[in-house]
Amino acid sequence: MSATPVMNDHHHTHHFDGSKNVFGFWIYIMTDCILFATLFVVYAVLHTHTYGGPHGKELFSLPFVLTETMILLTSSFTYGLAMLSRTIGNKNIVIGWLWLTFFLGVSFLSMEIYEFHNMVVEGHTWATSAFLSAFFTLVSTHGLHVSMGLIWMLTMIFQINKHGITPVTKTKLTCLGLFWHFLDIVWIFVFSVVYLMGAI
Amino acid sequence: MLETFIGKLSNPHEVFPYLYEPLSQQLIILSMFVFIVIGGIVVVGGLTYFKKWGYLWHEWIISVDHKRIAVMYFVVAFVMLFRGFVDAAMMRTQQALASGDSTGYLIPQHFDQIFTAHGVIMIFFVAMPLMFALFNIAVPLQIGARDVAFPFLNSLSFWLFVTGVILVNMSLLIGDFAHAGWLAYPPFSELEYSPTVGTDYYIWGLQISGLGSLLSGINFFVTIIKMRCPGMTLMKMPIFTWTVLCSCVLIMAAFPVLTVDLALLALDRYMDMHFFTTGFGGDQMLYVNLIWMWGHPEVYILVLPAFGVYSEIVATFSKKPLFGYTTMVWATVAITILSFLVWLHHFFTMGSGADVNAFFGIMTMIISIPTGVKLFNWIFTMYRGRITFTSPMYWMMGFFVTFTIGGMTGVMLSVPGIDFQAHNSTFLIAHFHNVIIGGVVFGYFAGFTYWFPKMFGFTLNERLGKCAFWCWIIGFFVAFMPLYILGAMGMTRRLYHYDASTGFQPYLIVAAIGASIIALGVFFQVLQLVVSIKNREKYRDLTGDPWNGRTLEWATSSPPAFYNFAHDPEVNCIDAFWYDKQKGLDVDNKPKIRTEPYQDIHMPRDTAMGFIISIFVLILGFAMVWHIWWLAIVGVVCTIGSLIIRAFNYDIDYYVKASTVEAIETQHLQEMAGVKR
Amino acid sequence: MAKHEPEFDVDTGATYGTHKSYATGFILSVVLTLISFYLVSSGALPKADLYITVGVLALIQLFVQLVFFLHLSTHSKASWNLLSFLFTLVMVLIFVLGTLWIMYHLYENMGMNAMSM
Repeated sequence: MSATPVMNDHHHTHHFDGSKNVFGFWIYIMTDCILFATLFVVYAVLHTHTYGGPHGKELFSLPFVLTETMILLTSSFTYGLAMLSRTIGNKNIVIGWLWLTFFLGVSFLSMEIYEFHNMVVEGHTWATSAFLSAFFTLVSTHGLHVSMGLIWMLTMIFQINKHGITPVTKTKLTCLGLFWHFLDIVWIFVFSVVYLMGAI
Repeated sequence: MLETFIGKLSNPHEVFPYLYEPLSQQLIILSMFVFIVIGGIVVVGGLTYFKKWGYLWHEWIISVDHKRIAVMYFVVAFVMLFRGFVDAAMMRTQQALASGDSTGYLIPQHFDQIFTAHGVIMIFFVAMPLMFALFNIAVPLQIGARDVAFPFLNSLSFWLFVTGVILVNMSLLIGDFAHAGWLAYPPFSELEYSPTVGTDYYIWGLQISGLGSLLSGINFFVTIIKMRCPGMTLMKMPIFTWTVLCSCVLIMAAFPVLTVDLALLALDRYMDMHFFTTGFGGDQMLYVNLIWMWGHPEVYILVLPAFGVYSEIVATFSKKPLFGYTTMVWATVAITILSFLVWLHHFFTMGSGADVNAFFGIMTMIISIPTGVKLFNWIFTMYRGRITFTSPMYWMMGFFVTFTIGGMTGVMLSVPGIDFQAHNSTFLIAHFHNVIIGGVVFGYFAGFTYWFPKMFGFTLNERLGKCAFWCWIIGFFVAFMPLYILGAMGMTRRLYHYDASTGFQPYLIVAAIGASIIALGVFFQVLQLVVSIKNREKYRDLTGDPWNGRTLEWATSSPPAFYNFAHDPEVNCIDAFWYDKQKGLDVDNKPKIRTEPYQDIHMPRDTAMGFIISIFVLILGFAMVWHIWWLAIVGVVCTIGSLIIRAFNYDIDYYVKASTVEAIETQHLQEMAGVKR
Repeated sequence: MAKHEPEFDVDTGATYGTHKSYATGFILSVVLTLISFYLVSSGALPKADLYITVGVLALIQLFVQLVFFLHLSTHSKASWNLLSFLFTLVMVLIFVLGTLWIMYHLYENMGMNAMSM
């Protein structure tokens, strides 16, 4: 998603108004909620359709996933700290927090890939059963969103470095923040519904 | 080796399936080829001869102006309407012929592709773009805005839609199209039963244009919520804008479900997953469930704006305020919510049990109530009005009749017991054409006629418009009433061939005659456009308000200057423009002559990015259809890359100087004064 | 919930909270996650209760993050954000519960044993 800053038409001042963009992005996130809800319900319907293959209980390692969860949660927190630093106007602090968030995101993603890799090596692929198709699709759709968020974060780091903290970059940062926190919330449900409930 | 580079393109059976078909089929394909090639030569040659490429690029392709985008939506939609209609005519001919010993003039796999293409094209590439065209031309003007909330996104949405159109039509020339029906139910649409690229064209064409639709939905929702002119509270919005708002809400809630469902089907086909396969624990009914979770709201996505058009038209041409504005708004909102609670009525026969069927049956009956409220509101608006019987009013009154019949057969089908009998029969086909042609298509034609002068500054020939209307409505009844009877006789839909003893043939011949009467209607519509464009000086409307309208879009010139309004409009009631005119505040049909000086106007810059991104997405879609993996990666990288380039562009808007505005406005006032004298 | 009037940024129309609110949200989320994790890995509760508890804890965490990270509030300036969220919530409930109801009854009526599918 590229943010499209357009100034408010009703005031003939040269003041930039990003509220439309932030609201529009919020609405986009609502549509993404529906997308994930659909994937969740597909998973919920198919999670027992193992076709003689393994169940979640036999595949998931809870401590590993808990670590992933904590990393993503922390990255959400550090992103919040980046947003709070924006008022100081010191772009280097913002960039610093963004880099930290970025590396936490990369760690999360690497762990997810590692987990997938292990499953595939053990012969449990997305082609094994409907349950595993639904599992891989749901979790990797979240992972794909995280990857997009990471690419976006990199471009934000460069934009802030170039332009500083301006109304435009602030608006983009706010949108990315909504996205990042939203992905954290989605992961809470992946963690609870897929992993924890799958292990019961 | 070759396959790594060009994927499935290395297999001639896949690329040119018609080379291996009987001569009769090749002749049909050949004539289509010739038609497309000649059409292409005429367009490209014309643009080159008249040196219009630059004009096309600068004024249209890179434009982010919502009025230009509206016109482009209309053009593509009408071309696609033509194709969808040809598909329909071919089906009607085949069924009229294929009785007993005769198997008609099509082979089964062509017939399958034709009925699939007809459904897909009519819904996704005719109805949806016509709807977005109406959104674009009317909404920003009705709420007194300079453009939509995100003009670049609007352009991107349009070009993504065109990408979908190109992919689906490419299947005419390279490969084949899906043959699993317009919703591609698995397991038939799975790789096992549909190994050709047809279903992949379907998936990628719909995914890409669906993304465009979703972005448009968000765009217009934000536009309506955030950009209304001062004084226009929600309950003072024009009713069309209200229906667009509700339609956008439906788009935003429903389209992600379609995206997921098609994506899962694609994963089954590409990644060997098992969501909907027969083995490995897959479940086809889950696909059906999801597709109708989108599909039912989709019906209301299309029809709500049509209701909005009727509401505008009936008030304008009855010269009365809309009867029951508030109930109309609440009826629209009620339909919006209820439309998410009826989806199972599309598959009562699945066997989910009596309580589930009863719930969805009752909800389906309930949703007809707010629709009935609307119908009465329109009739009461006409009651004791001074009605001008223009062609938009004709479409509207035709809609009353057809939609009511369609609605009643719909309530019949909402009874699960009846549905078990009529499921997948031509009774159902007759029902939904009754509501979609009578409700949606008539509404969009009415809207097109109504807002045409706003787009081009001259009205359409009324006489030919009325001829078109009569052909359409008579043709409609002749074509579809027999299908009700056939359905009751037990004829299933999508029937390629039937036994002579069934007695279907006479009815199908009548239906084919009906289709040719509709064809005459289409001919009159084309003629209407040609005649009107030719005599445009005669039909010129310089006032900007040819119908004595009630809402803000008529308060500016036709076509409006690119900034829409020289001064920001302000309203204090519904139909404020109408009351201003009544109070004589307008001179020369202009809104209050504003004496304050013109000011700088803030506008978005045109950009080619929407077009360029869509080209990369087209490359991606084509590569995925043909399994050319390296090219797909190129497509993804280029798409993301151009999005990043766009993100780094901070020079995306500018100010129009007050002096420029003044020059444009003065010239317009002079033109109007010149006519007066 | 924010006790005092939230501050809306003039440029973005959004609110950003404070260090304190972020820390509160973070700690609450961590604690809730750990409780869920502990309950499941120790098997302290009967199965049925465990499903409900984990679900409820996830919903609580949704609420915590919405308030402390996404700054969703009942303030009139952000009423459309709240309204659109509530609408989305209703849609999600309709889609999820509706589908589960439909598919469950289908399997029940068709005598299909999901495990063997």
